[in-house]
Amino acid sequence: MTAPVVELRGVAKEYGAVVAVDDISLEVQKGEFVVLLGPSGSGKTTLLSMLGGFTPPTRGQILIEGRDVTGKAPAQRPTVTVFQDYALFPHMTVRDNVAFGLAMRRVPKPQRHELAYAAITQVGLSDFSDRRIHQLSGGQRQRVALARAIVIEPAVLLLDEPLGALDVKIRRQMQHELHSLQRDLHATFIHVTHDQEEAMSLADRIVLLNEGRIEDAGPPERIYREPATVFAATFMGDTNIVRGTVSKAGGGRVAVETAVGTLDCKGSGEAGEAVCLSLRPEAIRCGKANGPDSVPLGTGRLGDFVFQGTFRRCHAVAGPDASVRLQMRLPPEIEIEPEAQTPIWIRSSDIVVLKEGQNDR
Amino acid sequence: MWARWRSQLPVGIYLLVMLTFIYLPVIILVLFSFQHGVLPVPPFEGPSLEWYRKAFSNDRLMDALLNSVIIALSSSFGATILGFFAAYGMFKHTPVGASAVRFILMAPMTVSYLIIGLGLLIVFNFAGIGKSLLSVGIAHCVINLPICYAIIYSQFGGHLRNIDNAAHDLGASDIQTMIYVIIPVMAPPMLAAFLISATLSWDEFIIAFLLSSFDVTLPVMIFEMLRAGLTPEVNAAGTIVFAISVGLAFFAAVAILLRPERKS
Amino acid sequence: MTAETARADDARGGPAWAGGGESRVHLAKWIVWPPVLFTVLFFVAPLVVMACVSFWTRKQGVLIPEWTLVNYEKFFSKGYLRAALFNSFEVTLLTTMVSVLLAYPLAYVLAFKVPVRWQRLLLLFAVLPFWTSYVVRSYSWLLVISDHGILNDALIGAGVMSDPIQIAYSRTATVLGFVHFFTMLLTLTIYSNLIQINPSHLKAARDLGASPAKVLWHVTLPLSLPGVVVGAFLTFVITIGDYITPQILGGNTEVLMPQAIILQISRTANLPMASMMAILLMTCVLIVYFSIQRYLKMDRL
Repeated sequence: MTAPVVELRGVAKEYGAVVAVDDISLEVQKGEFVVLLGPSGSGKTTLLSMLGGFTPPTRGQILIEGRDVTGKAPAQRPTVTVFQDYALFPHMTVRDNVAFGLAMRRVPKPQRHELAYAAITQVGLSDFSDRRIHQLSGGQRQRVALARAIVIEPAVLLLDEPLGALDVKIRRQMQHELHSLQRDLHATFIHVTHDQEEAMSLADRIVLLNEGRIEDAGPPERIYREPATVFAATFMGDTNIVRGTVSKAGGGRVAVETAVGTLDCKGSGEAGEAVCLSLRPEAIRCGKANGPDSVPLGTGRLGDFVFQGTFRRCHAVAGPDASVRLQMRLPPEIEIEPEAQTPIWIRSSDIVVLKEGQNDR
Repeated sequence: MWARWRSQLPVGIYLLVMLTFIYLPVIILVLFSFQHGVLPVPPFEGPSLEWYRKAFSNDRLMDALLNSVIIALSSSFGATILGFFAAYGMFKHTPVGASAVRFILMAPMTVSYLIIGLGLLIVFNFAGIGKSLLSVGIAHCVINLPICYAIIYSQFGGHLRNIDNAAHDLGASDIQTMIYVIIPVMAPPMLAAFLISATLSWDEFIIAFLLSSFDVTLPVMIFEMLRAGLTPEVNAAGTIVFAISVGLAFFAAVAILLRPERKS
Repeated sequence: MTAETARADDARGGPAWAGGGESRVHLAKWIVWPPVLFTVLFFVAPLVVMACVSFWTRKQGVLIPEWTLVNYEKFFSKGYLRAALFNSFEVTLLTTMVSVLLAYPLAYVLAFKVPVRWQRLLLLFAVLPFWTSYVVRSYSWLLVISDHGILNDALIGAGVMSDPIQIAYSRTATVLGFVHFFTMLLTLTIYSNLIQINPSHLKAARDLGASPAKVLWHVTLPLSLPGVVVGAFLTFVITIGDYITPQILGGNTEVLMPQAIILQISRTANLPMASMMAILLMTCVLIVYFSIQRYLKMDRL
């Protein structure tokens, strides 16, 4: 395994008594697209700002390309930040913005213009290089900010919610372009967002942050399918959390007593331990259970149908005294009478056992 | 239509009365600068440029005009640069005792020009510098610095923080960031600050009166001419002063309207 | 590493941000100091020196740096000096009151009775002569009100009277000159306050059955008070320290504080006495400032 391009060792940032980032260690490999995901106040932006050199860490070490850059100014790091508000220079043309970093590196003018033009072309703005910034749309400004950053070939590109200010349609398109840009450049991208869909569509690896700590880290699919914590399960899309107690454990499987019955699934634990189970809405099905893998969840009364295009959202009220309310996503073509009583079930492999107590309230 | 017109009539008459009050002295000043006679009082004896001719051939008056221009431009330049330094410094970094620094920077605005002038007169006497145009220029810089600081600082918006960061991030030194990025972006408010300072310096009397000796500024010169009584030549000189003030103020208003872009 | 950064590092209890070995000059940290130094040197220091000199005396044109209260005693024992202070206060208060009374209706009409698209243009036009030198503005009024000036000429021509009335070189003339200037200033401050009033407040008051006069008295007036106070304070500060307007328009009938100060310098070159009077004037302004400030704070609560 090659040496990581970025290495954080026990990095922390405190503002007085407020802990913004709490003892984070992380390695990023060359060419990786890492997304720092978390709600506002999770410390993701502070972490990025410490990587970029704008915020000094209270504790810990930051290494980039094996060099300790903890005390270095932004200009002395092989990183470039793309800011949320783009921070383009309003008095310059697109070309001058992109060429700025090269000019500061004393690249001769002809070569500077050539490189700037190449970067502008790469982001698809070759017809706009003489435009002023205020003549561009939001999406075009975003591309200029990207071109300005990639033209100086940083070892690591830091992106601070770069798509946050764009409307949904352009955001989708920019996600796609960002992804292919990263592939073309074989560059290392560290991208901050609070949008889990954006994170899933971009990341090789998601680092999920909450209250200044890493809640979970791994490929998007793994985090979605097997979240490490209750927070990870609820933040990565909708889910149903069902509390229960382990009644039997062994052989990599557990049986959990819950209000909707005893659920048998993969996992580890000790008898008597309190756990949470994550049941994704789309994994809960209705009708007759089939297959050896299926686990019945009792009888549910379905209601609150909302048609959402690709699926039909509803709630199932189940358990004794109707104490459990489960969110479901049914295929849109299914026609079910409201208030119908129907058996509901789930595949054992779709149940995820989560330990209680890791940052959950 | 008529009813609406009638309801507007009192407002119109009122505005006309107030504007007459405000403009009456200016109109009289300008009108009688074209007097074809020896006194700037009625009756108006027909348009003539003779008093302007006289004013422009009055060497003392022209020297004063030149002095005023030099002092207005140089003291405003100094005040704008110092005001920008203060504003940029306070924007980039909160120094120890920021509120004390802000208080000191703004304090000259709350003290009468007379008192500022008197204090400088005493200090310059002690220091052996004495009265000179340089003293007047320094004093005008003192009174205009807080105004420049306030105008420029008010335009240092949050959007500039990341622009400043971006310039550093792309490898610009502090000086390069200031020269290539911050000053061009802040040029409109700096120009507005410069023009407003120039207007105030151009019009200022009491400090120039206290701190100048033989070489005087235009307002002081006009005050001296008043001792000889009312003449249309003073009207002509006053009209020149007024026209230039209004011109400067007009360009300042235009510069304020050219605010730096809020969004990058 | 400076003591200051070292302390900050201790507080962080870890590797230092500033201690990275790079000797980068932090422009941001020193750039604020030249203007501060300039202000201290040419504003704060002169005021301190002036305060000291006010406790000195002068004999045969030479300053005697011995601490004494003799100037202060002299000021309060000499009737003509005390009178200057009282005259200044009277003229200043009169000016402030008349200016507010003239400016408020003008600002009100501009803000509420003039179509929005004309407002700014009309306002700019109404305050244009604001940008005139005090000297030129005072001289212009002299032209209007002198014995043979346009005002007397018009009144006699209209048959209102047969002999010119004496306005120039009097307190009336001084106040007139001041009022002209500060009507413009106050119109600016009051107008900018009036247009910030949320129109729905006024509509709500009308909906609740208040007559236009009651809306003005109970809603508009209180809400626009900050603009009045700011403008009135500026009027006060500038009027009480102005020399040229009373000197040109007021003549020799009475002496105000700034004129008395200049007389001390020009007639007898008595800098200690002039300093003492300047300090006294500044103290008056500060007292008013602090009482206004307290009032403004209460207003915000």
